[in-house]
Amino acid sequence: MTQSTDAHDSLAAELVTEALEGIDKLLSPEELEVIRALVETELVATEEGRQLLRSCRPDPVVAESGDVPVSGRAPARKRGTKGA
Amino acid sequence: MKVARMGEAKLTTEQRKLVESVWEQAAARATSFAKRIRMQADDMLGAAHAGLMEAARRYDPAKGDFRTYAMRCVDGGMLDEVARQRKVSSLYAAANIVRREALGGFANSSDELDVTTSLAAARSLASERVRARVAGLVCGLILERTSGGGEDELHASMRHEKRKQSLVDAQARMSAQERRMYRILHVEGRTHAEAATELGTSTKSIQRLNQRVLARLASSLRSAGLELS
Repeated sequence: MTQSTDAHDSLAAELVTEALEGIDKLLSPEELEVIRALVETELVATEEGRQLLRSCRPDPVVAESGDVPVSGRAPARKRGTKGA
Repeated sequence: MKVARMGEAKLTTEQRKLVESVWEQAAARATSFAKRIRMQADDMLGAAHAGLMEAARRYDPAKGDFRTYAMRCVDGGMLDEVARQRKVSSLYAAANIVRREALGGFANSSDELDVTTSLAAARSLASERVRARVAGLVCGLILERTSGGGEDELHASMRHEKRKQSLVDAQARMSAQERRMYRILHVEGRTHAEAATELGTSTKSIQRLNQRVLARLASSLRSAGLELS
């Protein structure tokens, strides 16, 4: 089962809150809660939704790779990639 | 999970395979939804499973991808359960609309996401997608509870699209300051004075701005046949 991250949860909640601004009064509180829960769930528990959330966040910075700490040097260039 | 998956013995082997192919996804959806709606996860898993079995029984490959169809049925099953437990009849209408194909989730966004280079542009695109999705659900819900079932599908669909666009347009006309004010007053439920402090203006200005924004929203929505309560 896929777990959503807290960051994704809060971004999903923020996007849905924005989307409901101005039209929330068209619904009863019960309907509003259901629509909110449904769309947040779509965002965090489907591949399409997660893709949308990931696109709004900076790429993760790798601090370490396995047991090898990142030294800050540029990675060694592979053969045959000069000028690529 | 065994309790939630009762009743599969009545399915054919083929139908059981269909259920198995998307169950993990349906269960993730049910668990996430239960947490957000503050209901028992087991109840939602049971409802999701019932929706999934219904999808497997009714699925026709000519209609396309099973997963997409199944997830709509899962959502419909979960909303039926919320309506039943909370005794809110309009939520049955919500269950009906999520079962329909036309609403479509966040589909077709991947191509644009691939070519979006800045985070701000990606955020804006995500907002647009979520707004469209929410507007579609809100309009669908209103249409479902007011149509009484007498309208043919084509007219209902056209009316739905018109209303959805009106909601998206009405929201697009709000400035950044108006949005902040709207959120403080109507989402967070804070006072005019608090909004004034946060936005660096007077309480009277906030009152005037609020009246103007609500009047404009009501007018846009009325023209599309929707009424603010």
